[in-house]
Amino acid sequence: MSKNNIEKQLLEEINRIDEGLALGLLKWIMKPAVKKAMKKLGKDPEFKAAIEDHNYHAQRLKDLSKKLADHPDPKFRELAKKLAR
Amino acid sequence: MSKPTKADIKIQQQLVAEQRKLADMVGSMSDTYQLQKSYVKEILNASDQTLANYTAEKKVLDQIKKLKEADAKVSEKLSETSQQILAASESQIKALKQQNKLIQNTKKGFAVVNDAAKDLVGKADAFIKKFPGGAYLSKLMGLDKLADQFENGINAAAEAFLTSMLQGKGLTASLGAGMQAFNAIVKMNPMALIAAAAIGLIAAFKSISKEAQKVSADTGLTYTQSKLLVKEANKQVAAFGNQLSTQSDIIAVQKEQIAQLGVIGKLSGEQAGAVSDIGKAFGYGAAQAGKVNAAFMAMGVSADNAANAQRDLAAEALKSGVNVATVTKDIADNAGTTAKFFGGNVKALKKAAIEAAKMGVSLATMAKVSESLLDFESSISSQFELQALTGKQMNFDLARQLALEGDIAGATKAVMDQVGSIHDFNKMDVLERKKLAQATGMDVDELQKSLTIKSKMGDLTSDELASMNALGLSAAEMENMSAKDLQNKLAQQQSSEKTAAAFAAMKAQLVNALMPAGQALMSVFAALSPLLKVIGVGLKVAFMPITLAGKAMGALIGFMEKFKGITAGVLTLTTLIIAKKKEEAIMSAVEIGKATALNALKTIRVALENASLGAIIRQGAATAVNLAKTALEGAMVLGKAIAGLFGSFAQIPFGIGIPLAIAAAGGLFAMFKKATSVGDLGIDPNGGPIVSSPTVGGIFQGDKRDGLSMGPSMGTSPSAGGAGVVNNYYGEKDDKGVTMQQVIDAISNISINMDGKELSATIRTADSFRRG
Repeated sequence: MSKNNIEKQLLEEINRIDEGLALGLLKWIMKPAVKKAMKKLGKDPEFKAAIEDHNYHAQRLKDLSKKLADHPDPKFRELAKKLAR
Repeated sequence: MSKPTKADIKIQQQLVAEQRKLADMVGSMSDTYQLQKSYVKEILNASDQTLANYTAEKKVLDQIKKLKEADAKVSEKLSETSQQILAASESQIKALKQQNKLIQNTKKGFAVVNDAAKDLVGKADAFIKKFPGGAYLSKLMGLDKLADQFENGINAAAEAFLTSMLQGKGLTASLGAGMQAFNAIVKMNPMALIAAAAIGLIAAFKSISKEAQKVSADTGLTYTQSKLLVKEANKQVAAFGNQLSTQSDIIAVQKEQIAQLGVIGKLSGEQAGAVSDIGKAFGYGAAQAGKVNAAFMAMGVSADNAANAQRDLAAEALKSGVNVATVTKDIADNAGTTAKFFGGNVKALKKAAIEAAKMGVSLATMAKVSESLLDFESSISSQFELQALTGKQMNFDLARQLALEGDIAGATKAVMDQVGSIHDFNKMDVLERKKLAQATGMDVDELQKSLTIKSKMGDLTSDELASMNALGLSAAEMENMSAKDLQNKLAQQQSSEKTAAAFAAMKAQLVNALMPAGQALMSVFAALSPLLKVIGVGLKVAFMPITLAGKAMGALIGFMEKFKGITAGVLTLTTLIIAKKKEEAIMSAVEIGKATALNALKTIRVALENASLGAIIRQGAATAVNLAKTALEGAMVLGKAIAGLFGSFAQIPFGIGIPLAIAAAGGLFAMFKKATSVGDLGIDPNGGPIVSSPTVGGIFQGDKRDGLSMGPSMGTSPSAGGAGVVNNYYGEKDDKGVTMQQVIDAISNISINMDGKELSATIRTADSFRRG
């Protein structure tokens, strides 16, 4: 280990670049594969149906929580707040 | 409406209680939902979280069961709230299930890519690790952390993609969000990269440069020569031409070479590397190897032959079971002083050094023995004295003959043979020992040490001697091995040294690769030096306008100093312009004010005529509005005056017109601001008051005994006050219904005072009534 601070900093900088370069290279190689995976997933009918279904139920949950928001009992109003999150 | 029965109330209470239970359960489910939502953030780690998901789901299912039980309880008395809560819980369960499904699907979709990347990284890592020092290189490149870093990137991409899809942003937008998150994992600033690369290059250059400076300081070589030497050493290390040597070892050999022979270039990098390797393999180090080589070369042999002789020497010493470092040190230290006995015969020197080690003496001691023997008269005399003293027969003739032939080892051995064993030596008394030392040319302690070693070594077999080197070889095996093989065998034993050399080789390769660029970069800096001078000049030129402006300002001040009169003239002119403009502005304001005041008076008169107090008050208010308008108009006049100022001052050359206009406008504002409106005013005598009259046109100062009174109808005569007037002050409200006559009656018998002085004894109401 170098006692010289500047040399230490240089070494750290070089190490950081090496890591960055290796990761950058891997990223560059794998970029099309990541994109392809996302496209495939986005077009998957099961995935799409799951999203639609989830969003439908999440929306229904919100609507119901809105109704509860005006309940005279504070406990239910608190519940409405929780559901609306 | 009938009053609820006790049973109704009880049912209602039960219903509320059940609803509360439901609310608690749904609230708890909501927390679970939030928990699951957070799992989206770590898609690829979902394998670990699947258990957590299932636990959450189980929790939900348990709660569904409880809900169903609760549902059964309240089914008969199900209220609207209960229905809402149950519907919410149902939606939550379904949303949760879909979320879990999405996480698993996303994980599956991205896991393929992640596995492929991990596989790639693993293969690259394994490939690199096959090279010597590969593990180090792998770490240097960050391959050990790469897979994890990539997984983080994939997780970020999956999270962004899924979140965007859940937000209903569509595939294209979600794809963009996912890729953006993926790209963000390493966003290297290109400038930082260039800067870091430059730093790296400079560091490479610096390492060579630093080493060269050190060599230069140690050897007295010039920096250029030293740099060449360091570069050569680096090249040799990078070429993997050595087994054990690093750059500093090769430089150490070169340094010794230069120190001993005083010249550079006698040893190439390759030769220095070979010498260094011998020293390191046989365990006496590069520096000592350099010294030995220099000693051999000083005897007239070539660098290559010297290296070979040194290898042979080390191997023979090893085979003889003596300490190689002692032998080589002996040569390094005493080769010069014993040179006359060897006459350039390196083999003889080698042999003598090994023999010396065997006898436990040095070359210097052996040379001393020979010198003593060749001092015939003294030597023979001592020999006979010793014989007489000890009664023991001793013959050094053979020793003298060998010494004469230059065989100092043989001569010493012959002497020692005559001396006998350590036991014989130990039996001697002090005087006898001293005489023996004198006769042999050795010191007493040298004699004792040598005899002891001879005694010990003589007891050891060849194999025992061989095993002392811990090479796992028998004496016969060692005997059959060449010096080079023996060196390789020794080198193999030094795994840590070999690793260090491999690292050094890698480092040297890196430095060698970067060196030209680093040097080029330094050359660029050197070349930039004149450019920096040009930039300096450029900066000077760039700042020239400011400098010149400063100088011009100085010149202007000087000019103004020199031509004070002219400057004063200009200022006078400026003052006049300001005064004129100010006068115009004030005049306009006063004229308008006058007209308005007249209007106001007319209004008052009409009002008085009508004797309607309410109307008067209203008109008074209107007057106030008019006065405000007047003020506004005055301000407009002031604005115009300022515009005029700028127009006039702009004509003044040297660029000083505008600043002067600004100053003048400021002055104008200040003047308007300073003219405080006081209405009526009285100033005691002895003040010497100053007044300004726009109408008369001038500023006047009264005598110091003069006082001043300001009020309506004053100023007609310097020595008399003005006539009293009725002020439009009534002090009564509109609804009092005061008549004009009442007003006249009220004011007809009062005197008018101002500042304690009576201005008028009565108010001439009839007269004032007539005017207008």
